[in-house]
Amino acid sequence: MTEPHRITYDLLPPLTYLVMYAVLSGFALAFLYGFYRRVRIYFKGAHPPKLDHVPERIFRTITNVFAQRKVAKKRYPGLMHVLIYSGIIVLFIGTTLVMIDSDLWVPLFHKQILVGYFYLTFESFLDAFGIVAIIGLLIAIFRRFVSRPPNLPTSRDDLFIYSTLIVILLTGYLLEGIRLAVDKPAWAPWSFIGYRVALFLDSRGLVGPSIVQFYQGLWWFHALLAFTAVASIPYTKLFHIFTSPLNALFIHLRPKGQLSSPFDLRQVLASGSFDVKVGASAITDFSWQQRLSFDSCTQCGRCTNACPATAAGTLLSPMHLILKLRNVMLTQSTLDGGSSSSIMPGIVNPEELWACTTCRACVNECPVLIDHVDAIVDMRRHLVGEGKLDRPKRDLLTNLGNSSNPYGLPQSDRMKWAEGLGVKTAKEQPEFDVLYWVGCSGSYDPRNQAVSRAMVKVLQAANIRFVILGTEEKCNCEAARRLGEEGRFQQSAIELADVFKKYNVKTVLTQCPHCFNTFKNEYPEFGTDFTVIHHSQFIEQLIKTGKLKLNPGAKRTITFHDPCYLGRYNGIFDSPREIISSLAPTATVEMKRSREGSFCCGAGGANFWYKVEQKKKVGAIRFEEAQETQANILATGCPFCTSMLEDASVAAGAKESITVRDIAELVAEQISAT
Amino acid sequence: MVNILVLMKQVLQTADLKVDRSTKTIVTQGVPRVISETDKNALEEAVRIKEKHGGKITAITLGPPEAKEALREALAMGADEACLLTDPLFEGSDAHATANVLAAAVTKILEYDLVLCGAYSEDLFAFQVGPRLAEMCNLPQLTYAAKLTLEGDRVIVERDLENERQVVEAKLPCLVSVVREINEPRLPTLMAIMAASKKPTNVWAATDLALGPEELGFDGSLIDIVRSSVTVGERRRIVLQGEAREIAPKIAKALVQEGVLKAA
Repeated sequence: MTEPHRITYDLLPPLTYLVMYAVLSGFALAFLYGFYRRVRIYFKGAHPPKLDHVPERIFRTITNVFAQRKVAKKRYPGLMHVLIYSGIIVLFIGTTLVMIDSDLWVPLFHKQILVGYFYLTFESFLDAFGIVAIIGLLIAIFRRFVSRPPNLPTSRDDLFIYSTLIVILLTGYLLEGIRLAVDKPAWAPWSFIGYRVALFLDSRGLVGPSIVQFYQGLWWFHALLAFTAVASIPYTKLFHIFTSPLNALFIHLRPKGQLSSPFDLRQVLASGSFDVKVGASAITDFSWQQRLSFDSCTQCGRCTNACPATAAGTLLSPMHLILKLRNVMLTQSTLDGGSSSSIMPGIVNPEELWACTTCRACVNECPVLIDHVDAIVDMRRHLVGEGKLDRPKRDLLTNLGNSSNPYGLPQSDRMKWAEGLGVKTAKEQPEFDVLYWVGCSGSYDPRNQAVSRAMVKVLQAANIRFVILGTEEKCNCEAARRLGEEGRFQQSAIELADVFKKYNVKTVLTQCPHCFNTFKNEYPEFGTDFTVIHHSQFIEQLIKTGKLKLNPGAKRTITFHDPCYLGRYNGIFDSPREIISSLAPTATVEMKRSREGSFCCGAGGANFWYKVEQKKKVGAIRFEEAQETQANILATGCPFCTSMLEDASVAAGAKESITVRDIAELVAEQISAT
Repeated sequence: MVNILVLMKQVLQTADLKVDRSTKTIVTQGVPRVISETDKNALEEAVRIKEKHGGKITAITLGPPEAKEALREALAMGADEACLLTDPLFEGSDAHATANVLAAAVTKILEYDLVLCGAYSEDLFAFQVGPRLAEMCNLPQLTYAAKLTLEGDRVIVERDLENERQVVEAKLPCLVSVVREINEPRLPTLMAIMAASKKPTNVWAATDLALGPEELGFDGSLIDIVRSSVTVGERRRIVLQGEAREIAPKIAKALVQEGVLKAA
């Protein structure tokens, strides 16, 4: 008995492989041309690719693309993709191995690779993964054409891709079955699907001389279909096979909470050349990597399904925005050779951009690592540069410029909330351990002044040596940056960095996740060097170390709303929950969307300061989710979440049944006097 | 092509003004200085005219050297050139003396078709400088413009007279004073304001305008400020509760008691 080995061209006329390679080269050229045409577009415009921190980038690519980390986060579509992905990859590698075996190894070395137990395992493996891919494709077809979840557009691409792949797989099994039925090798049962096909054909008496002719026809059909599938990659959304790993490799390595800096104001001031192009109004204004990322979108709809602005019925749908940008890129660039014509307001409506709360739910969801928020802020920067903002946005920026706070209230009133509390400023008491950064909301907004006073009570009870900056505290312009006024943000960063330096600040404590994020992730670029702690982390430590003793409070049920800039942006999920669990006797309950998948209150990205046309307010949607938990306290750790959710509670007439409280307030109420 | 002069005033941010209750004076220390809103409207209108018809915009302000900041913002908004009229001798000028200095500057510039200004400044609300300047320069004046259209050398203006709208027109050159309703002024970014410092700014003192001390400041003013004091009103914070029908007479009674209404 001969050793088991792969029999490849047995049933085909001699020299078939030469004809096949001639045909294949045609398809390969079509593939290469399509590939070139698409990639060429990325290079049109600003910011060529940059590749630093290579190991880190490769690791990210492996986890996100090859290990499908983000794809698999959604159970059902994740399973679908992993099945198709692994099935097709295994079969592609398998087919390539067969080609190498018969057309390279045999002619060159006069021996085969696919022999013995390796070959037999190989056959079983391939048969199994064919089934894997078919199951994945059936799920895909069911999703796209039967169950049709929201925001999952079905295009001709989908029909073409799924049907082509299924037919390739099925004809593959049939070809294998005929080959085994005719050749009858002893090891046929190892190809457990093909073998069953062979048995079936045999049992029906179909295996005769005519079946060889049928085999030859089917073989070409199968081959041509497979070549078509490969050649179609750069012409369909299958192109994400190439773009998503490339995007994972090239996308920025900034921390989640750090926006890009289109210029460095210190350098601009030093050089005196102010003519910097800020923001994006044309597709060419985005970076090479951003254009690549737009082309990576697979229209899976996850971003749009997670988007609060979409849920609120605004014009924004992150997926459609990205698709519009891609469409402009693919059509404009190829047609006129230049794509520097403006995309606003013709293609992208500024209202879409203003509706974004920068909550990052979309970015968090995207399996191919598109950074929607970055692109939106880039376009906002252009709109701000044009100067034609509506009154509320203009007022916000004017107030920040003239009054150093978004409310436009006098700077001299910044410390009014602390009257009678005995709080010292850094100027009055230069020796301190903690600088308590109150923030504009905590300083001026009556609702959040109460939180600041609660914070002071906590700090005093725990004997913390703390000071505030008083009238030297000025808005850090986080909202200005997210609105798109980069210069204002950088100027405030440069000025505040000096103030922190002057008082030799080592630790900054803040109750505002927006201040927290901007200090932690954005200010270091402008020369700050201190530890920043959110009050949830700080209070958690005070309780754990016994510096803060709490009395038992009233029995109630608390649900915690994760502020985007605390949770999703900075991964702080447990500290506030730890605090709440120590507020005995309380029961805690989670909302249906929490932690990383939490839903925005509607205030982020400067949305707090202007109105967006909404069918249902983002805050109202979130408040209803809190109501569903039957909790009587909706706790949060962000002044803007507090304001938005409390507004929603008033609008819903539910202020009595569920109270919106900052965690600091809940803690302050239960501080033990001893 | 329309060459436009825009008159602007840097004022104290009124929202930040506080009253020293002991001395009954206004505390101005540390209060930010901003461009008076209506003047921004005037400049915005000038920029829109320029965008449509072409031309050159010169922003002019009379004030302390710090007023240069306001001009920088004006340049960032779209003015091509700025002119700062500053001299210690200008201090204490009333509307007449101010208009006199501005008139000297306007006459010195000569090349203009249209003078635009806010109908009033947001600190004194005197509504004086524009009309006085027009008289001194012998220009037709169209005041309180809520809408402005330019057709050839004719300026058509819709005047906002509170209870009525009046459409008037004049031939260039003329002066138009605008109210806030006319437009929404654009907001330049900080980078644009910084970049604007590269645009030309002329600084003129009294001697550059051939003005003598007798025409300037307190001496050149028609008004002498004898004394200024602040009235401090306390809110009573009276809350009445109940049905409208019950409350209405109580409110009337309270207003009579306060002397706001006279009892019939």
